[in-house]
Amino acid sequence: MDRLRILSLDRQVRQMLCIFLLLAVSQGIAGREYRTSILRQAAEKLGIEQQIEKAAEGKTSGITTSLGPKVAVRIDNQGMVEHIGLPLFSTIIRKKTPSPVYDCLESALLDRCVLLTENDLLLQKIQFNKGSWKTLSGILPSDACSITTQDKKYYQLVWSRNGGEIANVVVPIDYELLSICSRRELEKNFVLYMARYHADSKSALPKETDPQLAKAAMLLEMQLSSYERQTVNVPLRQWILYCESQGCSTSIKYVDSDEAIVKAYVLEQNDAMGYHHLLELNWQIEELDSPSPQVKGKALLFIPNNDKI
Amino acid sequence: MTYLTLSTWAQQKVEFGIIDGLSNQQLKTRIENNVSQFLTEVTRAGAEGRSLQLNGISITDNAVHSLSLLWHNLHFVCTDSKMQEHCNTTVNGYQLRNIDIKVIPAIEDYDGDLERQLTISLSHTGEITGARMAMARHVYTNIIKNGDAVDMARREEILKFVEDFRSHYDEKDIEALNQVFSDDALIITGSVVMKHENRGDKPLMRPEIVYRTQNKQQYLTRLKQTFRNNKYIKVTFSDPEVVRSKKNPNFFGVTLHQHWKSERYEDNGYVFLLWEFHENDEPPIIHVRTWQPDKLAGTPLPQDKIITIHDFEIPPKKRSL
Repeated sequence: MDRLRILSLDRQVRQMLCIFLLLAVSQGIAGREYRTSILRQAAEKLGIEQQIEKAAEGKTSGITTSLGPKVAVRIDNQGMVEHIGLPLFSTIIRKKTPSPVYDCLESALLDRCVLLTENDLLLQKIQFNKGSWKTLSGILPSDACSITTQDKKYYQLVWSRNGGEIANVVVPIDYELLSICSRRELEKNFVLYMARYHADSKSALPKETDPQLAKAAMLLEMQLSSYERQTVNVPLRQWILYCESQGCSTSIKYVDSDEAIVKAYVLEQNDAMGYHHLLELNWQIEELDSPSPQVKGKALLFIPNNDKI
Repeated sequence: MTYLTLSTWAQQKVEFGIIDGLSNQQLKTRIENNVSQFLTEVTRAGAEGRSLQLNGISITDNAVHSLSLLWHNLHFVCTDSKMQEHCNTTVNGYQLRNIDIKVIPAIEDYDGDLERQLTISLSHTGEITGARMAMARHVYTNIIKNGDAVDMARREEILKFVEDFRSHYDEKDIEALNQVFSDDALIITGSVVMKHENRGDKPLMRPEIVYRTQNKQQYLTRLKQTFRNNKYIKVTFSDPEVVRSKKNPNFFGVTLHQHWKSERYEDNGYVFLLWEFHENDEPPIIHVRTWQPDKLAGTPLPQDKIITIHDFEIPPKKRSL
């Protein structure tokens, strides 16, 4: 009898386990997407995935954590978690002087306060001329904050209280640091997010975009850092509008040759993050006047900006 | 200049003249006659909505084929009955640009400009080798010469590969490093030693850089050990300077400042990389990597002591068969 009860209990446990696993899987499927793996890790370590699930889209929410202070979580209009950090900057400064450094410092502060990640070598690039992470954790909403850009190489942020400087932080304009993400993951995410980006048909393209070229389907070979080559098929319009949604500005150069124009370079420059992407496009001369033009291209991603080259 | 109207296109004869750029009078007349005949037929066929009849016009089969593909989608007519343009000399012959045309779409969903320009390419003998739509007029403010474009693209490619190379260290990707170094790669690493120097009765200690050379296998074996001993590594490159070899245009020297950081160790120095790019689409390889400290006993390394491409004998470019 006891043996039977044990077997029955065992079956119940297994059934419960199955239900739990099914729930977990369904939760996982319905769960929010995170822009980077470090954001997902942060949510998991703070145990706030459930609150993030319920948080409103298209805005920043304050979420209470068991580990300590309230964290700011921003979810974009498509429901993707794009920022988790300890609030340091007001919406006023974010609107007045937009910069990727705000998200970076807020995430870095959260990381250093609750030791989210073991590897802090990347965050060590943030230098304190005055103060420390502890000072930043004590910043009050009433403290004045100013931001300047030095030689297109650094952001300098200064906090003052009652006229006296309390913290002075220098953050290099380095795309890996500002996004707190590795080059390899950034590349992977770029390919994924660009390919599924919905380009608004009403959005204006740069004036130098040839109208036929803009609607051309591009067969693009993305040359990734791991010697991997990935091919995607997207219209140039989608590429440009996605890059611009990420803060890039576009310039297009057409190459003159004896055989008329059959080549163009599309440069997507992001000065705020310190990188650019380069697209090299080639096409057959009669291709652009066909009803469904097709061009071939090669994409080089996340090339660091450097004035000396 | 006489502007044509819709009703006159079908009957109109187009006269094309070369203003300058071609001194051979006989060839000039031949090209003017051939192009006039060509533009007249294009304009008449465009106005009548029929296919092109290019018999009697000196034009290559390739140009006829290419033009028929274009004509399938759109017809066009010359907007002027008398036109004059400069003749450009090209490697393959001549080119006539900026020939104003009006597009008559042959397909419903044509949404390009209606006012466009035609480019006509000609052989050295005056035969038409291509007649192509130029791109939209406004893009012409953004044209760069082919040579400049190749240089710009190559510089960008170098920067991309240098950045890839840097991230291989962060990711401790020995396989990628194995791939990027050529099998006979030379690795030179400098280290500072204090040397005794006797000046009179006072012994003096003078800092000096001593260089050690390694082959690829030795370097990668040591690097594997370093990767094992350090949980995390962060390499930062800054101020890269790229110099192309004058002897072999496929070789580039890149000198940059490197900051190496791990949990237990940190250093700053200059790294020199000798890259060879291939004319096919294969990724480039590194033949030489050197490292030097950026300071010698606290004093910045003099500029002339920093290793550059000029310190190496570059092999000449192989002749293609």
